[in-house]
Amino acid sequence: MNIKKMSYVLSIMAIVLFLLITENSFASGNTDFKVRVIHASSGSQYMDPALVDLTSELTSVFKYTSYKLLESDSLSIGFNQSKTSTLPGGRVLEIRPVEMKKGRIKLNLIIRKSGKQIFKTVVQLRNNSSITLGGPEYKGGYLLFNIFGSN
Amino acid sequence: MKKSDNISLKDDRDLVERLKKGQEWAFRQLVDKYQKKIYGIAYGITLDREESLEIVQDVFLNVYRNIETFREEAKLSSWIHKIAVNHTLNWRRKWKRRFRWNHRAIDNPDNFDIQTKLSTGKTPEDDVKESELNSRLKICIEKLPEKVRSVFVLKIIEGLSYEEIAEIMNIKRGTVSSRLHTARKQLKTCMSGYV
Amino acid sequence: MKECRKYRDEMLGLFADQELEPPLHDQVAKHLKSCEACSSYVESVHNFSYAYTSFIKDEVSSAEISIEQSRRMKPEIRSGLSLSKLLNPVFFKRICLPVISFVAIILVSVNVFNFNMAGLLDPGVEPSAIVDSVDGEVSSVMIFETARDHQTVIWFKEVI
Repeated sequence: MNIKKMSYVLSIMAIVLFLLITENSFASGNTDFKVRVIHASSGSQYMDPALVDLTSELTSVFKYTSYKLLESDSLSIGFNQSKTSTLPGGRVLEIRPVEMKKGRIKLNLIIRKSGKQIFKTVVQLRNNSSITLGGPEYKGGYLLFNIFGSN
Repeated sequence: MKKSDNISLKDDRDLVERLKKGQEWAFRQLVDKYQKKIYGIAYGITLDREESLEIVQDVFLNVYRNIETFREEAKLSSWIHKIAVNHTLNWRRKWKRRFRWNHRAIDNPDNFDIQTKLSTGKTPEDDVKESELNSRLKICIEKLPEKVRSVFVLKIIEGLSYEEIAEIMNIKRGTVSSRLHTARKQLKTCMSGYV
Repeated sequence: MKECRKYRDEMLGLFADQELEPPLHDQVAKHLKSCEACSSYVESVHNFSYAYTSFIKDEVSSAEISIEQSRRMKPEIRSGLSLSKLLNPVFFKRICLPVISFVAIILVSVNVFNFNMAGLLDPGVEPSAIVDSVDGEVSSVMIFETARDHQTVIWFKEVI
């Protein structure tokens, strides 16, 4: 490998290392979340183009034949603050990021229905990845909530 | 090399260039050109329609993600063949094929359990439609080991040479020959009276 | 039909696949003209090929191959952005690169033994989300991890 190529490789390594090292201490104030509400059902065959990044993963777990994106919501939330996203069927999703540690965002996810807490989970979500929750019954199928977080 | 091969190669090189640039219609062209081919390979090995459709999608995602690694002196079709065969053979080894989660009908919401995939996924209508020959052929092909089936598919369906098949499957030319011979011998026994 | 031992079946298969070198190919072709057993074998090879091709072609035409990947293209494809474009400027090549290389050497030697590299080296092994706790008005909860991307999926059943 010549010096030029080696410089190229080392510079990439430096950038990557720098970002990783500073990730913990310089986690930005706000975490951006993207919430996608998916309707999964059997019967018809449909793969929503907006779900291409999820389709093969979802179909590896579920045997539904139709996946349709119902809603998509973007939220920017500071640590120890919470915001909500309206879900179908009178439900609400509350997201509360707590802290960032070792590349993971610790967050509380709460689903409420008619003001009552139905489901709560505390997870450590890897930065720039997502978790999928499901699934309340809804209109002949089930709801899946994919929550993507990025700090 | 035939003139048509030259034109196809040139088209593919142009297509790869556009794919690397991220042109959306190039991907559509890629899908149009290769989806049936990939499906044929996947189905020839898995003999399962549902799995084959998933494999096709996976292969295209793989091609899209790795197009930058494609060396332009190679043939695009060979590269795609390789990805399709490897994906299909690896698919069967993965746990997700063993743990397909099936929900019961909506009118029985309390029956909530996990089922493994037990059937081939065929409907009674499919059975009616299939000719007796095809049914028997399918049974006989299913009895072939997957590696033998792969070689058979690449030779008979894709019309590749032994050399090309050897390169795609990373085996020797002699192994290609012996696997084809095995396939034909077993099929002859299994299909006696039908062909 | 009298069995012929002149050519093995595998050789006849090579002939049927047009994989024999010309002199040998011609020899076999000549033999087939007078040998019923061998020509019958070659015919059966072609029959199997035809039957299998028809079988697969029927399936390909009847399967609903409805992939429209082009409509699902991610934003990065549309933008056509590539790393090489970002690193082209002369200034970056001649001045920044050597400086960054020097810094990289220092960082690697200081940090490689202190930093937990497990996530970096094989991020694919860890699940997308580690579940610390689960609670609620639910009758059951199941936690899954997908095989390929290690996506975490939590499935719960609401108490009606």
